[in-house]
Amino acid sequence: MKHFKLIALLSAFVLISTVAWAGNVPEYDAVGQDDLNFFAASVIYYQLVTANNPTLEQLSSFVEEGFNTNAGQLRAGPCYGIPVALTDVWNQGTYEWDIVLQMKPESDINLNIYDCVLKHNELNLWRFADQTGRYRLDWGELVFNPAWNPLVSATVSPGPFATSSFILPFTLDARTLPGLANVALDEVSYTSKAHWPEGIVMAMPKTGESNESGQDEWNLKQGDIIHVTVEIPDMTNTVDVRYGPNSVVLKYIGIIGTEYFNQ
Amino acid sequence: MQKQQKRIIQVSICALVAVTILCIVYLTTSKSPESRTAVKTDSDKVSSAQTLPQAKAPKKAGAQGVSVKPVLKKAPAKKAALDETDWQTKVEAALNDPDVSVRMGAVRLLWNKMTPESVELLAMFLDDKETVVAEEAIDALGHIAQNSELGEEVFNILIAKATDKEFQSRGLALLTASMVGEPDQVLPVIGTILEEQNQSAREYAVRAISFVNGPEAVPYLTRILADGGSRAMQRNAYRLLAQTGTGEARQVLEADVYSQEHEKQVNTVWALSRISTDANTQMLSSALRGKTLGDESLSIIAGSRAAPAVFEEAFQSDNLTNTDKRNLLRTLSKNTRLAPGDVRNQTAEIIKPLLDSSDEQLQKDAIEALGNIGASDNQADALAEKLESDSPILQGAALYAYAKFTTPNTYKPLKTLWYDKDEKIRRTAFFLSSPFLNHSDLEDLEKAKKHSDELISKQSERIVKQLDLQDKITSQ
Repeated sequence: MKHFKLIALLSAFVLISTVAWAGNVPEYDAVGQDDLNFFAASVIYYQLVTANNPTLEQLSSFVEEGFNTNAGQLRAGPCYGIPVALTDVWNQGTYEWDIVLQMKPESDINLNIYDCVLKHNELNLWRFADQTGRYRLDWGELVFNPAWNPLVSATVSPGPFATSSFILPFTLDARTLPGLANVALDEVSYTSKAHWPEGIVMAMPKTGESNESGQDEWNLKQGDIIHVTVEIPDMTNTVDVRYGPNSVVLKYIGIIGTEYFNQ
Repeated sequence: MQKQQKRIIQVSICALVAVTILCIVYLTTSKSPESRTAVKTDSDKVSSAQTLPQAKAPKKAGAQGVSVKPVLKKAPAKKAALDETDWQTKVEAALNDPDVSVRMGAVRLLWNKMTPESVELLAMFLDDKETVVAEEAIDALGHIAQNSELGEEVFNILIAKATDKEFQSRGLALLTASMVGEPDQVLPVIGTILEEQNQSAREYAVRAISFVNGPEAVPYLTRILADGGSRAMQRNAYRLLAQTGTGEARQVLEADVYSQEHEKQVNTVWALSRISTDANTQMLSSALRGKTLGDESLSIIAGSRAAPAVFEEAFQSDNLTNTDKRNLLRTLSKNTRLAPGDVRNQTAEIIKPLLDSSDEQLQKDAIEALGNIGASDNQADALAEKLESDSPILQGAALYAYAKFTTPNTYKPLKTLWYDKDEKIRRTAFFLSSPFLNHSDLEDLEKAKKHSDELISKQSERIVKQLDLQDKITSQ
């Protein structure tokens, strides 16, 4: 009798819990064909996602996606050998990425920026790795100035299946770590070092609420376009910084069934 | 015999349940990637001509140079495509397809079909067992309502779902109904939902008001505030009041911005600082000048777009003592760094007049704030004068603030401090300028080689040698 009750309870739970949700999967998006992104092709946790749904990661180039920079020509960089553009010390540079979300997110979105930061005029990561916003004075002291770091901004524009009434782009908010307070991703400083990735957690927006900038927010959907800008401030950059089309990847949890493919 | 019968019945039920579980697991576990591929047709093409206008995020001025566009890999021919010419039949067939991707594809197919038939079909998808399909159907209905004459039909469907307590996506149904309906249609429904004990439903009700916000919404918002709720819900309600701007709304805001109840005050301040109209900024300024705002409230303002206007008024106010103003400067130092770039630069401008204050401590705090707020515009010009202050306190503060703006273009004023009588000042100034010294500074370096401070004289000698070496390498 006990076993019977247990099975009845279990089956009731299964019946209730399996009808409402299609399921959630980890997902990543990058400029161009996602599975060809250098980091997606090289790092195990991306490879697992690709292996789970290779078609989705292959059919992932969209006309709305792209990379743009005023920092000069793309050349094979010293960190990974992938095409990157250099902004060297005391110079300004702007880098922009447009990435289409391929699934409807059901989580915050991680903005991963893969860095390549070296001392000025050096090409050897294994001797001259460095951190933005920092330099060493002649008598050896290391100085860090937050204002000398790159500035990051992120906005989202509506795609073809956007939430109703979502017409104008709005700024995404980041969650500070630790603390998880919300900060507008509107020219705010972050620091990067060597060839390490930096993760910025972008809070999932909600239709009917406002962001930290006072703008209306909307639920994000598959097809919406995330625009990321990294700006190296004028005359305060203390290191050689390199970014390219592969340098930004978005990671989140997507809802199964919402997959969005290119044409 | 009875026991035996009971046993048989139990075993039968267990077997039936087990089979049911197995069927459900089979139907809902991951399928092969190919079969999970969404069904797409030509009409699903992403085309800005036929879909919502895609307002792209503005590009930064001057961002030109290298652009990379991805190479598009086309989708393979689909096995079970929904044919454009027979879409109605196919969509009806897709209604009961076990593959959630097929049903989603059917909903997307209807997205731009502005017909009553399409609305009817989408209404059927609202009853899909998968939340994601129902929600996609809601979005599609909203899109049709806003781009056709079918608004009323869609509104009736959605508002019915919003009031159906069994409907799994009633929140989104309410939000979308609010986007397409009129305030006098929507607000009574919101009022009914606010009666519910369901906290989630109440939160959606507040969010829905944002689409029908106006004078008629104020009583509902004040009721929400009176009933309590999460911080997010309260802030949203205050935000909507701040947007409305009616006399009644302002009364509530004015009362709560002066409230001694911490949550009421900080939530009101948050809303007023995010909806920074002149009236709202004035309200914050008055509260600040009235010295009624707590530390958290001040921090919230300091990190917002309202900071420059509100703090500027405070600094010009005779109602605040210099001690009060120093506290405000420290608040800016800690919090404005998190504000957007243009806000940090504007805040720097409102701090600069305090550099000329007759109060030395106030000057010092202004200098420090100028260095700490993270303005991206270089503030070296404003600080340079203070490097030569007769006050060691001000000179020291200016030097450390100046360090944050020392670049190849701004290092030269530091050379005037190489001969300061204070050892720490002169050595700090020398070392802050040393990374930028070049041939144009040779004369000063030659002079510094004879400096009475041994450290500076040795470093000068070393730098001159380095520059000579560079010359030799260049000439070879």
